[in-house]
Amino acid sequence: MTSDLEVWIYHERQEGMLCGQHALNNLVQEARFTPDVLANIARQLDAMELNYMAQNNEGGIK
Amino acid sequence: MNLSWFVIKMTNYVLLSYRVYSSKDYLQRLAEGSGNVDSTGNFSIEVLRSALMTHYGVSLPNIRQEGVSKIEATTIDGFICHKDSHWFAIRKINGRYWNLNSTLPRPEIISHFRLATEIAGLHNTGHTVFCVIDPGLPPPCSSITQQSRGLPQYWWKEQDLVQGKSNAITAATNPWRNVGSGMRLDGASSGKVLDLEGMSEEEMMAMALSASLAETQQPNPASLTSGITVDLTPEPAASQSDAVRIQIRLPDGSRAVRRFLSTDPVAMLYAFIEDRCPPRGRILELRAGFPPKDIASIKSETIAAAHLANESVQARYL
Repeated sequence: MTSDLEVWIYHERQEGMLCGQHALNNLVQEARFTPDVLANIARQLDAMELNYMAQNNEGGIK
Repeated sequence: MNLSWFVIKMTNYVLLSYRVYSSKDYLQRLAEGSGNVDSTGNFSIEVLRSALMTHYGVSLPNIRQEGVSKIEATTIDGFICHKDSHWFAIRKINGRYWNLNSTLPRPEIISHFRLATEIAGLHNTGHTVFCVIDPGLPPPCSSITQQSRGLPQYWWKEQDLVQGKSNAITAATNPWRNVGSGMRLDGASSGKVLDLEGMSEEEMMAMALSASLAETQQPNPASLTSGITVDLTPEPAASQSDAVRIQIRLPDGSRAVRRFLSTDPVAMLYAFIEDRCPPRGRILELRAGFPPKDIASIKSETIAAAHLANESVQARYL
């Protein structure tokens, strides 16, 4: 019993609280993202947002 | 989050941004530390978006967004769903949609017919759904050499899952995984994996059993809404020609025998048991056969096709 195209499905199961990583890796069907990679992105976004807020005094009390 | 980074960040802003001292949001942000990852490691949608954009060049719009909501669901390659700090993915692979929720023991098929209903169901249960409409997601793994893209125990043979095999193999349980691509027993040079037809029943059972023991399952309320659910229909009369009896050991330890139609989906068993013993946020697991196998992945099959007619089923809450 063979098929022309044998396909394998990548499905990371839950480990700790890493569902964000699992969701992404399962979507792209490869182990591209690690907690470190995502934490780095989170830090960069935090920095950008804080910078933006600092420059624009967003949400400031008049 | 990293404390030293936080201290540096805070010092920076206290020193350099004196004028935003009055900004309520800003102070709140400093107090919270990060808006993109919380103390439990849950990432924000912005992190997921940025990750996908950076590595694959695909965006992740909300499915309800203007310009997206009118797109036919079955033309979309993938979905990311979110609720209560849980994320999970649905992906089209080889023409079929798969629920790849990490809390599931194995991927579950979502038929094209069910997809739009499932997505609507997710919305109704408070999920936010994002989707991939840009091209750019990598094609599925179609050879054993590509399995280096991920960990062996996470690769499932699609064909086994489609057929609802209770002993579906993963790359970690594939007995041929150590056979080099140039050393194939059948002399073929393609990367195709030999199938398991030649194995004895005992060997397959032992393999499936060790695979299921190796699995770690963490109950998570979010997976309650994953998979197929049906409304319980009244018990068919014994005189009905396609009525079958199923013996059930209920989660509370008692036994029940109930008639179902052989054409009922396996999901009807779940509906009956959840009606008898309310789940109260727990995940219902049904096992059948020997050794007992989780039947969650064959919920959409009929009781007849799943060979559950006149069989017994063990139920428990995780």
